Amino acid sequence: MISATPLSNLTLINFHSFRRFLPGLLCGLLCGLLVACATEEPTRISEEVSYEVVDMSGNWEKDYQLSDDFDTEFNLFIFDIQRRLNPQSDSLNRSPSLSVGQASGSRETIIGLARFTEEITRMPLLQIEQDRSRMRIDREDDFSLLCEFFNEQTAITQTPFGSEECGWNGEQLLFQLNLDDGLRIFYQITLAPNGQQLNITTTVSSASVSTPMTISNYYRRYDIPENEFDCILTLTRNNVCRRSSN
Amino acid sequence: MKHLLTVLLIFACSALSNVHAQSVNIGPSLLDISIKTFTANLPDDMQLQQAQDIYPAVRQAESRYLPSYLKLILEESGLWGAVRLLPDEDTGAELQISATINSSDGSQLELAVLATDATGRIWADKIYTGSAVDSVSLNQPLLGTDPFLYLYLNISSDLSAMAATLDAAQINEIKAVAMLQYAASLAPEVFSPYLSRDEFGLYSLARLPADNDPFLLRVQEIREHEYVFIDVVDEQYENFFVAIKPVYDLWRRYRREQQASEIDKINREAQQGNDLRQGSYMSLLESYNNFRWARMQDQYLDEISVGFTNEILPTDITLEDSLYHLSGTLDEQYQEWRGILKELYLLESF
Repeated sequence: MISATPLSNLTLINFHSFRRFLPGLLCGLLCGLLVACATEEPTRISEEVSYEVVDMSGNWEKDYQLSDDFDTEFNLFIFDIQRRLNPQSDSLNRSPSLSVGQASGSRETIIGLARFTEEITRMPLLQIEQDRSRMRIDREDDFSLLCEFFNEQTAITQTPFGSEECGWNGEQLLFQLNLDDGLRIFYQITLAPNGQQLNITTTVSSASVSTPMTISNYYRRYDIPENEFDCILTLTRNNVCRRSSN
Repeated sequence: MKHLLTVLLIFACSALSNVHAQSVNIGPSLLDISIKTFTANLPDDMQLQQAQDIYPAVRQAESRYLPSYLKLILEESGLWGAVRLLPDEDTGAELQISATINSSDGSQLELAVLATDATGRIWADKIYTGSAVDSVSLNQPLLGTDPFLYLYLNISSDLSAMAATLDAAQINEIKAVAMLQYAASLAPEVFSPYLSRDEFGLYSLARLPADNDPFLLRVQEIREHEYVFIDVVDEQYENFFVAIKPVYDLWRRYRREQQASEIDKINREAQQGNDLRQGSYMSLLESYNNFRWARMQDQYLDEISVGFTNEILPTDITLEDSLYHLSGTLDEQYQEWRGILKELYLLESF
């Protein structure tokens, strides 16, 4: 079930506010790498849709060196919660602990949110198919994120267990999942200017924890060997394959 | 040249076998039925299609498949003369049936059916709704295995009930009006005066042409030529029906299973409640897994719709190609054929 609302109505989590504790050095390094690689413009798809969208299609593998280290991010997450509780304290000089009050969430819910975030942000491999009106992001061991581009509107897919919204915000593709238990997952997908690197920033929030947790992962392109068979799916005969003519 | 050859070929066939023409004049008073392929009711807006869970390739196929099945049911009843499936309305139809597919999701089928005879009398103007019944079987592979058999039987039953209220004179009048309407479509200035129309829009015979009226005989001959073409079209629809039946049956079964599975899942979740502590890891995971399940179901349906399209596409193309030799699509070609016959009539008459 898909309907559409103007992009401006999409409730987005301002993920930038949650990343202020990221070490400046790391940010600088990542930005530098992206700029340094900017030798060519990413492909754009401009037909049929009235606006240009970035072409993210291809096979992507996680770059563990560039991607957030979960333990570090977890510590920052805890620091952030503590800092919100006690803004005067010099939280960076303290070792992280979970001596947090109910106002920001219980120990169980905070750890639960972190553990859950770690689990859904593993995504080691991605396969992205994209045409002029649609994008499909296949993730290993998980459902695919699908986006139909209805001009500059966001598409909303409703299910009995929550909804999925997606749309473009400039050159970023955004997905937001609003699920039961106040669980909200926000994906912000950005292609580097050279088209060789993909960033997926995932922000997870729950109604039980005042602070969302954000994980930023980087992916680089990889090529898969050409299949020697062309296969099509059929209903009565499953996959019907024949040897590629190439 | 191609058209001329086709026309000559059909004339030759017609000359060899003029049995049908004779049966119109002297056969039993059974009405012929013309069924127009159903209106697919496919929204142009892709978002609406998705919101209503309509898969365009499936719906397009249904617009041909469903009337083919209705045709079989009506033929099987033995209560009618020739039952023909056409891409457009038949100008000379004795009883014209058209329908719009209001909804079709494998579990439920809703058709808005309109059946009108040549005089304008409405036989059925009704919405037929049916739920899928898996166990239906009449030991006839094509007829007995459709999950919506009862819906079609209801349509057939309503039509036969209406037919039973008409006497032989009324049936004969419908037949005569149908022929004159067809004649009037070819030569309105000659044949329109034979028909009158009352304030309710119903046609009746103002007078009858003589049995040996040369114009009428020519029209009947032209009509026979058209039947030859229609029979070719009809055969193609039948081939299409037979070819896609197993695929379409499977598609509908998958859809029913998917819907049943979703209802089952929702009920199970509602009954179980949520004993997990809100916001805990297990609670978040359960929310996510439920959503993942729902999305994977949707994606599975998308995949099988691709499988459906891949599998019926060659058949669909064959249907279009087989009659593409005249020109254009099947619908356009039928219109073109009508035009050729009209020209032929004018050439022969004047």
